[in-house]
Amino acid sequence: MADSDPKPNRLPVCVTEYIERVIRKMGYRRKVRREVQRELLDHFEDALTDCKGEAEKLQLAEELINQFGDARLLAKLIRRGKKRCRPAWQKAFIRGFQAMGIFIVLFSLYAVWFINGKPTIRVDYVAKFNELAQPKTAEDENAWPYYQKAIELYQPPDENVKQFIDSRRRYGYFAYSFDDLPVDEQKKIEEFIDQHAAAWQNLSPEHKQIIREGIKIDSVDNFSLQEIVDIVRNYFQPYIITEENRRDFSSPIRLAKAYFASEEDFKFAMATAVLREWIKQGKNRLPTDPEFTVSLRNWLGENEAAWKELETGSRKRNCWRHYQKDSALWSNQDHFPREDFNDLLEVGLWRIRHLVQDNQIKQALEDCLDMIRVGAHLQNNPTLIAQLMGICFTVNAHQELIRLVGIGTITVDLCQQTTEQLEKIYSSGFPLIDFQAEKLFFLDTVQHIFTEGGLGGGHVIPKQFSRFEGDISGSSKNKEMYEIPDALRIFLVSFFSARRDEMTAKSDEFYNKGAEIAKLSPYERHSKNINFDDMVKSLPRRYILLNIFLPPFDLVGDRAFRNKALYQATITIFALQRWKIEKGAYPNSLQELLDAGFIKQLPQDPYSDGSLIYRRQGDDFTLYSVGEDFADNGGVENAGWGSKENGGDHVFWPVQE
Amino acid sequence: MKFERELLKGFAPVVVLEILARGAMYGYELSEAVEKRSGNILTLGRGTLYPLLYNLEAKGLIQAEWQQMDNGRKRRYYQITGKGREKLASQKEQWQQLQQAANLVFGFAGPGLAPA
Repeated sequence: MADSDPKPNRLPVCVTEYIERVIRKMGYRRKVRREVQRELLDHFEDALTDCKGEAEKLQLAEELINQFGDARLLAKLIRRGKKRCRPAWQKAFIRGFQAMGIFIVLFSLYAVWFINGKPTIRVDYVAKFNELAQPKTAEDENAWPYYQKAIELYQPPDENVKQFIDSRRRYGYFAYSFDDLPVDEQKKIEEFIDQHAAAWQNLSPEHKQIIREGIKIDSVDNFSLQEIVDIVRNYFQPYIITEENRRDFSSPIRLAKAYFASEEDFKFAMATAVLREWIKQGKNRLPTDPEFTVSLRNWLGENEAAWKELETGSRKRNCWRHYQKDSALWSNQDHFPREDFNDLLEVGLWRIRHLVQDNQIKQALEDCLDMIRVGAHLQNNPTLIAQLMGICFTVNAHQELIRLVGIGTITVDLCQQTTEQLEKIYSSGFPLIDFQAEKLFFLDTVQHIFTEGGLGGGHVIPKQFSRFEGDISGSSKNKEMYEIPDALRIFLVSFFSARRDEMTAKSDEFYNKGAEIAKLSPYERHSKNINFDDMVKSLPRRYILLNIFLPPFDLVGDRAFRNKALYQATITIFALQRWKIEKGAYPNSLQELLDAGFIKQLPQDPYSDGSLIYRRQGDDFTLYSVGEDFADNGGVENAGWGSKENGGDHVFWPVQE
Repeated sequence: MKFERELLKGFAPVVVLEILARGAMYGYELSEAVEKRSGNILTLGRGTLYPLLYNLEAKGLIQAEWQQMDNGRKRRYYQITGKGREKLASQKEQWQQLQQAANLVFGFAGPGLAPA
């Protein structure tokens, strides 16, 4: 090893300066520089050893320096040689580091190019959409301006009425009391209460009070039906209060737990208390509190003008809205006033109920038909969101019509008129879901988010994708993707997404296939073993954008088939009512109705290859669909349209009250 | 005599290896030995000496170590390695053939490089 601190012995200044210049220019590690310095000093010392005087030494030193040559060049050559002496692992490490540096630079350049891509808008999908949306009728036959006016005139309810309406809305179909539950659910709740009544009875008054405070049992109206059912359902399984769900309960409940012998006693006592109070308070169709009833009627009065606009619009031939040309279709789509239409739906339903209460049956029927007309307008709109809102209107209105028949005061004439009106509304055929517009939305999104194709192009532009995410509604977002940080997510989607041409080709494939599937009834899909979910799951992850957009064609298509079945069931029920009035008893079969011209066709069951099942039962009848399990359970209702796992049918009649 | 740089480029390493094959030397000693053993015909440029040594070291043909002298000073001694000997043998063979060819072409007479 060289001396740690090489000291030049008796060398001329020019030599030491020269060597220092070489070492300085050489750079490199300190230890190596010291060694080289030592060698050079040794060389000069050896060369100048035999010099007799300073003058000779100086002269020889200068000759030597000339022989060594330019300090910079020497330093460069020495440095190069020393670098070559590095061990292999060090060379590999340095090369790797350099390669990484080059990669980072190239990647950064690529990223800059990637991020700053620009979309090329080639096709005017907005114009195509408007062409699709607007039927060939005059502008004065357009209902949309009236619906917009109705939305503007709508008056929201006060807080009490709002809570009442919201709590009634949350259950699947519009059930707002214990009596609206399917019969088997009612039985389960009653059995549960009987079973655990002792748990409540055995509580001391203080403990009961604690529970009341904890769950605000005095105003159990604030519980939605779904919340009540969830509480009951939870107690059929082990229900663990964990740190996560503890916050769902107010602190008095947590304290109350400390007073009970076991957590089970506490839970059952609470559930029993809640359910009994809720059943007691929910017995009537309408709230009995006079002050509250006045609030509800006042609210309906305030919305009379809005309703009139809706009614006027419903009598127009068509309904379409123009989409703005200067923006992407997706930003137009999200502006469908879904919540506003929901509000108008509530107005309609509560109007009908109050009309029934006031015995204004004819007007109630008219209002139902107006709602169905609005629904039909929306169902014929190209956008999926409007079509689904249309289904919502028509389903609710048909159910109210059926309830009206159940009251038993409808005359033959009213039955006939209502049936004729219903058939007139759907004279062009009952609309199924149309996905043409959805495909246009997707293709327009692609051209707004992707660069043009070509070498290295056709990729997602991160900024555009981020803007797209910001504009679309939360429900259409892929929830899984939102568990990772935003910047990383946008990068992953942009970088790994399929290219534009691949995305477009795949969208053609899926939308065309999906549209075919949506035209099949649930039974037809079941018999052909077609499962759209499996198709979507088979999509590689790089088609993330398509995954976000693709609607569940089969589920959405089912909605339309169910709606159609409900419409046909309604026509059939009105016809049966007419038959009953005219002939004194219900027919033995639907075929009799058909043969006598009371109905034009048998109502189709979307879950079988036959018609809805009709069974005359004494002075009444049952009309039902076999439901999602495709099996006839004898007309035993299960919530919704039955269940694949638990069976059950969907019963149109008798009305579940 | 000053030889053209390109002529000496491939020759200098062989010369250094040959001299080191006869014993370890330090830098100055080696440069003196080259002059002396070539009959003062060859002069290893001081500016190329150390870069050449470091390159040969990098190739594993020579190795270097600091050794303490009697007077307490340390010097960096270079010696040939096994790999260096093999390389030297191969290079010398080539130079002999080259010498024969040059003799024939130019009509030279007299001794060339001393055989190994």
